[in-house]
Amino acid sequence: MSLQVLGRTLAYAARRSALSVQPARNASYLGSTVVDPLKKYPDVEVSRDPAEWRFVERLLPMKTVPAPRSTTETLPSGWRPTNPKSLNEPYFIGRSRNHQPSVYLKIKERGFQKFTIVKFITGDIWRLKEDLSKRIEERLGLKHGIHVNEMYGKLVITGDVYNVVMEFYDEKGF
Amino acid sequence: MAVNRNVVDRALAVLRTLPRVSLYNLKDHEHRKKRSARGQHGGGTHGHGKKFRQNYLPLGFESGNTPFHLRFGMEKYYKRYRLEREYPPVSLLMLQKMIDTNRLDTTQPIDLSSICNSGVYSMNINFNHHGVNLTDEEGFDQFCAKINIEVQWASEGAIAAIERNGGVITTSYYDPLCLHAVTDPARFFLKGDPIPKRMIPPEDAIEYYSSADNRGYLADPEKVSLARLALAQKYGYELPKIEDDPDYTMLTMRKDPRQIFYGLEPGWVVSLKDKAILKPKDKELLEYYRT
Repeated sequence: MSLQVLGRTLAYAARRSALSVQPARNASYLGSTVVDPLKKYPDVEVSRDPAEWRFVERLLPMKTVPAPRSTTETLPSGWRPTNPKSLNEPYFIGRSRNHQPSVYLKIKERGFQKFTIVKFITGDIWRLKEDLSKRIEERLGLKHGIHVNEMYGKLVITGDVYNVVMEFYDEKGF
Repeated sequence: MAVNRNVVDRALAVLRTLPRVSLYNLKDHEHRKKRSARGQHGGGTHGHGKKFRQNYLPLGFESGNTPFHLRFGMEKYYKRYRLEREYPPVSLLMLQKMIDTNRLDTTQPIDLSSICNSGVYSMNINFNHHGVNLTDEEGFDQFCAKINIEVQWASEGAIAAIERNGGVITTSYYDPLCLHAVTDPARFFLKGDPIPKRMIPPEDAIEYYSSADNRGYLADPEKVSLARLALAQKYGYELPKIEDDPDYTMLTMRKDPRQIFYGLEPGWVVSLKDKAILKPKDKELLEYYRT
């Protein structure tokens, strides 16, 4: 085991114990030795039991985003996989890295400005813009301005039209 | 009265080109009422001349020397705000979503560490956040996972939703020092500090955590099983038998009131680099970490 870690941990243990085994420090912290002779520290038992180590491994976070439980059916929370029929459309809206729909409501200026943002669009983004604006006008009776960022594959719609966009999104099955 | 149409058209044309009234060009009108002058700065008559009997005050005049906004006592709406414990909420729908997207492992007991490790829940200890508040506002009907979960606060509906599916719920308290270890175990292990022992809840929280209705971790287990039955009758579901469950060992896993991690005892030091656990043998250390 690494001396540095052992030394640090033992120094802490010694500090906690009432024994007068506090190792002498030099005037400078940096100049002082990292580890004193091990006899100065209280005794410890080093365990390398794999059964115990399993409890430690459970506490470490996962390094990548896991795949959802099922990629073929709708799950109880309402999460659903991408419908293969959506691939026939001239455009496609991808999922976020967390496998969630990439439609967001952005609220700015303490609720004064609201934008609905659709990201990760591939294919004919201008066609999607027309379809969305038609749908929004149908539902709300109002035209909403839509800014197309063709390079980035992103639409920014003025106003809170999240529900209308999500209805469109689910209908197409992205 | 005959009006020259050209004049009207021209006026309208000018109007069209003029800037519109908007938040960017609003300003006070020319004769805005200002706060009346005081004292030597023309305060004597407030602009009403001398020698006139006057039985009213100028409109908007604020009499007295104490301004209106300082005249009344303070209502301490945020009194004790810095001392209150906060529990950022997680709804049942969010919990189900975390399970569906494999952020949480239902084959193991779920606690604050696993919820924080999921990467979807965030809490800040510096804002007096003390853990998860499990709410039933959303997803009471959708929730269908059998889990052994430990949260810091839970509503009655949330307890019912979990027990209806054959799960177990416990509410437990972590003191702020332990929260640093619990919310980010990986970072804590890198420090090389011994795992702290959990302190008992503060005075105003001990009642909550020793109550069987809240499934507190200090409650009497017999009273908890009675409360489980009572809640099942109140909400009208049949309580699944945990004894007959194949996951009996997982569902009955509980932490000691002094313990903060499953399977690891306070006082142990975990070395991630060497994959080793150091256990104290010193008598006084053992006495300190004893439960």
